[in-house]
Amino acid sequence: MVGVTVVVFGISFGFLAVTAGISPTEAVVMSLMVNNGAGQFAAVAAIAGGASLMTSAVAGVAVIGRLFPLGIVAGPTITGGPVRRALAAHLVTDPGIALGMGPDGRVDQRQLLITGAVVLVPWIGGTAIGAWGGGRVVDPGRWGLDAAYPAMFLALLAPQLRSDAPTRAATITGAAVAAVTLPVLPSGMPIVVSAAGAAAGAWIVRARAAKEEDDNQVVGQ
Amino acid sequence: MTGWAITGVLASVAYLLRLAGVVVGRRIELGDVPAARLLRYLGPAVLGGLIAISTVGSAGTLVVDARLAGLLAGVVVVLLRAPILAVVFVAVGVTALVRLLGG
Repeated sequence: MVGVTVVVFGISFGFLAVTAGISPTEAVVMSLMVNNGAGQFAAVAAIAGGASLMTSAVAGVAVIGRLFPLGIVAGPTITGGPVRRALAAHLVTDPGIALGMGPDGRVDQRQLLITGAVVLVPWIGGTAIGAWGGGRVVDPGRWGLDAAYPAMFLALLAPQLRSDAPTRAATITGAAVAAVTLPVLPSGMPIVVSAAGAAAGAWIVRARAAKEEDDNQVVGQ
Repeated sequence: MTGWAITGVLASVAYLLRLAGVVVGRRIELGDVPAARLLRYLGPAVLGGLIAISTVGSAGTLVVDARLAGLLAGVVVVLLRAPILAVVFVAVGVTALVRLLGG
């Protein structure tokens, strides 16, 4: 089931990348080398929206920033020497972590790596299909396809949005900041300032921690 | 040209972050440091911004159109805990429908 979802997302990415002016070969290589749908979509969406190369890269980098904490979660479980670690690192993915995580929060190495490798194939394949197959010029507006971008981002965030209040806060704040600054700031800047939404998420985490401390103190008395 | 440049940047950064994470993870447990918190919510914040821009943005101004209807339908689908693909299909379908009806 994960494979099917990945293929469909891959096809969408390939299609939208080509629409944004990226060549099919570039898109496929990107999927192979970056191996992170959310980040790739972010960068390509920014390009399609008219942002400069620099801003699009920043948008992509901001989204793939979460690979660092993902790597940290995966780290303890990866065995072997530096070469093996270096190779395995490329396979750290969202589904890999999700499927590999046990009830104690530890990640099973085999599950992580196998999922990572398995997911890469439909991702590249889907990108190829979308990039080369979607060459036919389709008017995105008529078929509602321009709603595909935001829907895709929403879908990628959905599991976290449902379960995690700081994530909700960060997403909504980021959206609000971008929407408000859109008519005011030059092209591409709204995306950069939307990063400020991260502060909202972090603030909620801190406020909660503080509240817990307060509660504990009251109980302690 | 743009594609290769973006690929180069994203691929290098992605790989370095993954590798750095794996190396660091083998040594310490991730503490609840403020910097780590910010990093965790940077992605969702930027994705939120992109959602907003691709829904109500158009050539540098705010334009409320059928896309918003599609996205709201997508939000409903998310709340209903339907599969991810359904979110996209519903959003696209509703947007097309609203446009068809003259929205």
